[in-house]
Amino acid sequence: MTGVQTNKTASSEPCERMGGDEQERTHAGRPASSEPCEGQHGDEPTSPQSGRTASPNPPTRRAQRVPADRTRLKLAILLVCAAAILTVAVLAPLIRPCDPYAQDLGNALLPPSSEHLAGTDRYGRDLFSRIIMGAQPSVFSTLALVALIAATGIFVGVLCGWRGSKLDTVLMRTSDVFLAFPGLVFALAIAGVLGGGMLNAVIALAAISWPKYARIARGLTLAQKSEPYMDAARLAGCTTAQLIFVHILPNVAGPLLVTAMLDIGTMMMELSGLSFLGLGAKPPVAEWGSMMAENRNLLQTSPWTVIAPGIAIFVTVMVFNLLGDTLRDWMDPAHRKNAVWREGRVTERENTVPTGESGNPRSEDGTPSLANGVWKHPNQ
Amino acid sequence: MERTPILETCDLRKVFRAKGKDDIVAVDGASFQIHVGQSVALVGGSGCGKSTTARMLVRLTDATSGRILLHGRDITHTRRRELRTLYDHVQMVFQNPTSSFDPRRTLGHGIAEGLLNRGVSKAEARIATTDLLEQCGLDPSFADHYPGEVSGGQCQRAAIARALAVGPELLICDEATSALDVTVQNLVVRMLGDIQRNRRLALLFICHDLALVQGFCERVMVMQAGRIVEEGPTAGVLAHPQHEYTQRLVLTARA
Amino acid sequence: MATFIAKRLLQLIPILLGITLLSFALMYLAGGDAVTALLENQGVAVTQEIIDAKRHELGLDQPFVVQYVRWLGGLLSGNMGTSYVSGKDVFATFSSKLPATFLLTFASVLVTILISVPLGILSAVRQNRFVDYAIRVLSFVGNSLPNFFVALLLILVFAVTLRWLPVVSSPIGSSGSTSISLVGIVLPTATLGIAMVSKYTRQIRATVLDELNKPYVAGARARGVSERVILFRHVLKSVMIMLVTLLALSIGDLLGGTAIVESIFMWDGVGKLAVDSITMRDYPMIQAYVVWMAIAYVIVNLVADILYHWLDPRVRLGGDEA
Repeated sequence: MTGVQTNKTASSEPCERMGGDEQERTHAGRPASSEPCEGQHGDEPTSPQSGRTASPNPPTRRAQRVPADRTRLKLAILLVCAAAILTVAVLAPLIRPCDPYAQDLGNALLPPSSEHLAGTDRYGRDLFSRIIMGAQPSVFSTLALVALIAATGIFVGVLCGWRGSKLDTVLMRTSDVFLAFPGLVFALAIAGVLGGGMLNAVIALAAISWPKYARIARGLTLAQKSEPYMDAARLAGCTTAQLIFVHILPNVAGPLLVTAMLDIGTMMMELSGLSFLGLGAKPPVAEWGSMMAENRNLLQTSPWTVIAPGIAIFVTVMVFNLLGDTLRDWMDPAHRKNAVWREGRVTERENTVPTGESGNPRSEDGTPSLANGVWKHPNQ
Repeated sequence: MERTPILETCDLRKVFRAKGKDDIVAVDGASFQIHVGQSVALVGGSGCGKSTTARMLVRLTDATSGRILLHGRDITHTRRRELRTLYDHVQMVFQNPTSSFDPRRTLGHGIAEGLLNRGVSKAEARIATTDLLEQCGLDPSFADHYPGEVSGGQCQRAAIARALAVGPELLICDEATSALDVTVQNLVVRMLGDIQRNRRLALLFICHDLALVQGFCERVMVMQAGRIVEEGPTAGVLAHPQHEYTQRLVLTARA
Repeated sequence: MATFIAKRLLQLIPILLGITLLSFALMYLAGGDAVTALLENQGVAVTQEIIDAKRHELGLDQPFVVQYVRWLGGLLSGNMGTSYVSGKDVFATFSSKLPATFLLTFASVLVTILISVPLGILSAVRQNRFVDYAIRVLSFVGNSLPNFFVALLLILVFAVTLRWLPVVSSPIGSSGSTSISLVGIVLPTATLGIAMVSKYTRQIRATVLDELNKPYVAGARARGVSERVILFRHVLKSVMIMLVTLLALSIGDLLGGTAIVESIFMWDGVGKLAVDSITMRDYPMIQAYVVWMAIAYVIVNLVADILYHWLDPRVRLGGDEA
């Protein structure tokens, strides 16, 4: 079979939709999973021809050609942006222009200028430096949080999906309870128990966010568990550990990775929200959410003190959101190598036609043979 | 021929329990033997229990009652961990070739997996893979392709290569050709015939098409609604079908 | 149907138990109970005897299990106790804050549906044209802005700079007052609405595109069915199903009172109450809040499931897992 396979059938679903349990729905389960997919219609450029037809009606099916390169290009650009943000976070102490903690009351509340790119706050501290330093708690905590949630959720989910039975029911019911529990309140309560600080905020948010991943992982595991290739792997003598780690995990990793990427933005906003309420970083630590909180009543007089950290959050979240979207588009089966049909080379053993001396096909057992494009039946 | 069959079943039963509905008896007392080098066909319509029987033979499904004997040893209830020996002797080829391979792994990995799990070195496994692919009529470069990149027929041949890798005595083909188109079907069937003769491989060929097994399998068992209703040498059964269901199958095959 | 509803409501019980036990445990572990916070707040010079006396009065010196069981007993007889902080009846206080939250919820949901459905459909139907890109960019931006940032920006623009709207919506300090000005609801609703509209628009767009690509739509077009009919009769149904999913999640959150928005705008709803109660360690009030959340969660999901069944009869009721 040769040819380029037209990708993207109408409802191919790489997205979280397959994370939901199709047959079973619990309280929070839905026919489509809790994060219904943005879908492969995210940013797909389509073939130019059909788009320009002058039809008054909305265009009908467009040609399905999707140049994979553009998505890869976007992915590359966004990875670079994300890497840049991470670099800023890692190198923050080295690259910040001024000391973020140095107070200079004489220069308090200066608007942005060439000297202070984001102005100064009420203590005269350079806001730009504080924002750069703020990247550390904001970004690292978020990444740690998402990693923690994903790890926990995937562990529980795969376990439940694999084992099934009572363990499954118990864990899923537990996750139901966590889902019902109001998120912020739980976080506040944990903060109350453990005290404030970023670490505790991370723990609090992790404790209520893992069910989502557990559900998705469980659904995906259940789907893969009954696939024929799992049977084949069992016949090849794979142990349970091998079945899970070599076969199941790589096949469920994709959608989970995309979910995690998309969650980075959400979690960053939630973490900074907690800081805003006073439960995350404590002053004088620079963290974008708490910076906005401490400067809140300066909104009218010195708005930049609030807007600058806000923009920092916004830009970071946006980059990671875009990255997650593009990653999802990229993992659409249409773009994966597997979907491209290539020509296989086959050695067929029965391609030779026996020929007689005269060059005409000779049939030994009375079957018709092909010569010059004509099938000749032998005389009986 | 050895006296002890490779595989023997005694009154194998499988009952599926559904909540709120009646129990489904998928297999209702199947008893048969497969000897060394013997090619046996298991034929019947859809849903008659053929696949379920096959899955029980390799313990992918657990029997509700009855016994399965491997070289005389009862393996009906051995634990999963100890089933490695079973898989040394018995292997299976599945109906849907493409989905019987891990979509994220190359065909070569799938073929070599059984060997690698048994401690064979990567280099040796690679050589063995190349050998097997050639025996199955595929160019060795197929080892680096993914299941989604090759056609159904090619994939099924790779699946056969995979099944042969560990050197089993019995190969179970569960509707292995049903998902292929007709020309490829014949190709694969002929290839299986060659392999079977060359290696003295016992074969349990499951399908719903009597015409396919003619001239290919020595014996045939006809299954209906979970029971084996007729069995015997293929030529004889086809020439003189006794059971009414067999007669219908033969008529359809002739048509 | 009736059995289904009954079964679901019955499940409220284990969830309630689980959730209240959990929150009770958390509060207990938090230590430093209401008494200390209360007395500190009042600026009373505390001696150990005063603390102990107050504790004994409130029953806080009992072991954890005893306290929990007592509370549970009270709940069953309809009494949720009195607030440690204000001394008033918990149930009365709590339910007096609910209308504010309901109002905000209703307003946000209304605004969201009215804006996101047309935008989502428009964006899908004009796929990849300018309108689509504009809507997608806007909703993307809306998704990436944290809600407190949006709130502050809105305050900055509309209340401070343009002076069109008041910053604070209801009189501060009048607990239990329901004199919420209609003008004051605009900014909080806008804040919540922006986030929700962004999210919903994207999902609706995806749903519509999915539907429009389905074979039956091509078939309908081939039969000459007009685009409008296709949209409104067939596609809209799947949009509504998607809406139910999204709303179930959102309403659950909204009914919990969005603490951040309520506290920024001083909106006297249960979210703000929850934050204050936790800070003050007002156990009975916190428990009331948790009970409310459990009820809201179960009922919202129940209604959502019923709506699914009504919208798509293929969806069987009783979709609880085996």
